[in-house]
Amino acid sequence: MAGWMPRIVIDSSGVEAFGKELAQAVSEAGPIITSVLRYNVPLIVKMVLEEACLAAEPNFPRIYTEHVLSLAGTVPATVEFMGSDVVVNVDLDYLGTSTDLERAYHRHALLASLRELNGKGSHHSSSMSQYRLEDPYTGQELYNEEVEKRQEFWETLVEGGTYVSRGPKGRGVEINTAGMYDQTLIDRVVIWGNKAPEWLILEYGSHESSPYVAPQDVTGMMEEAIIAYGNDVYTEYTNSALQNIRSYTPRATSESTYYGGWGEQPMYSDLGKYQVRGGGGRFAPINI
Amino acid sequence: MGRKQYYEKRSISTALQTYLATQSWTGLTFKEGWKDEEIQIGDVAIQILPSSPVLTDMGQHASTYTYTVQVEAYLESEPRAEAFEDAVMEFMDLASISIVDKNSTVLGSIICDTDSIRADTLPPVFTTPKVLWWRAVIRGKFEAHYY
Repeated sequence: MAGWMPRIVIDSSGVEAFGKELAQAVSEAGPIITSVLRYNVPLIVKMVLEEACLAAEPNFPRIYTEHVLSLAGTVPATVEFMGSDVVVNVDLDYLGTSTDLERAYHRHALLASLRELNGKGSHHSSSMSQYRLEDPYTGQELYNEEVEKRQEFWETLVEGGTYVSRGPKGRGVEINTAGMYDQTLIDRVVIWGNKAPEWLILEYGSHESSPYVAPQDVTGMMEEAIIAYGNDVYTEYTNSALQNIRSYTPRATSESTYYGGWGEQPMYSDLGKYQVRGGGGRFAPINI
Repeated sequence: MGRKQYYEKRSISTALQTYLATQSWTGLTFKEGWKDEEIQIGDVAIQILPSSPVLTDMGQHASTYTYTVQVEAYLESEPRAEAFEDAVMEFMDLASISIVDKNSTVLGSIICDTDSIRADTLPPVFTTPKVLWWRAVIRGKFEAHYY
């Protein structure tokens, strides 16, 4: 999925303030809301993926689950304020794209030219190394003879059974495939390394090849969970800032006087004097 | 799947088939799902995702429902898969689909949230030599309004 970054907007609907007062509260609470969300959004991503992995069991391999969850908490999230709204962007491409996913599926695939797609060289010639491991499949014609036999062998391998390969004279050679599927999964995870594109199997499902998994709305669940958590964080910290502002701000004020509210620049009074709050609620002028 | 979702899924499928036909798309086979059937080139399936909030009530009158729909197709090449995605995304963006029951009675309408529409193209999985086709996946969040 190229360039997929859910853009989640959290608004001020949970805060009972408007206009300047809301802007001031958001200004006060903004830095802590930003840091809390930036820290916790990757954890929410991990939690949602964990639920999705559980829902996909037993078909979704345990090694995929472990790999996805080992990296899910590192997904970068950016948090920024646009007016009084908080915009959260989650970079799921960091976790892995469809190109990453196919990288492991394509390794050592033979093209019709008998070159390997992305292996180190070829079964047929040591000089055939024009495709690197990172190269995605771009639609080259494939070496795909004896489709039925290959399919049968793959299905046997997934089940770990014994495949009987019959030669032209009818004599069979038994191939014990026990453990080969597990080894295939391990190899894939090794190839993916610090990417975990298996999350796309959870998102889109897999119909044509093992592991057969039904699609889930993983990104939708992430959005919901982040919005719910984000609303709580936003409301709590902004309301707290609001209380502070209200407790520091006198009811009747002059716009040109500094009242000691957080984050507001000191201002000059009409008399050209910088004022601070003095004892007994009065304002003590300071000559500057 | 509830009866409403069944009607919605069928209505989306019918509307999409009609739309694609007007866009000169031929050779497509619309399926109920993938199940255990062998996947053929040109197979299309529409799925209402079970993990999305199923028929979330948006108001007191339970007349509006939201859910995520996934349209998928297996096609012979990457450009064709991408062209299919473009067509389906345009359909999702523009279409207002009537929900009809088995008696062709109009129950309501469905629209898609434009901002939620996205697509991806997945290359063939080489371990399965029988299905060496490109997979087009298109997602969107739909809202169904009942009269």
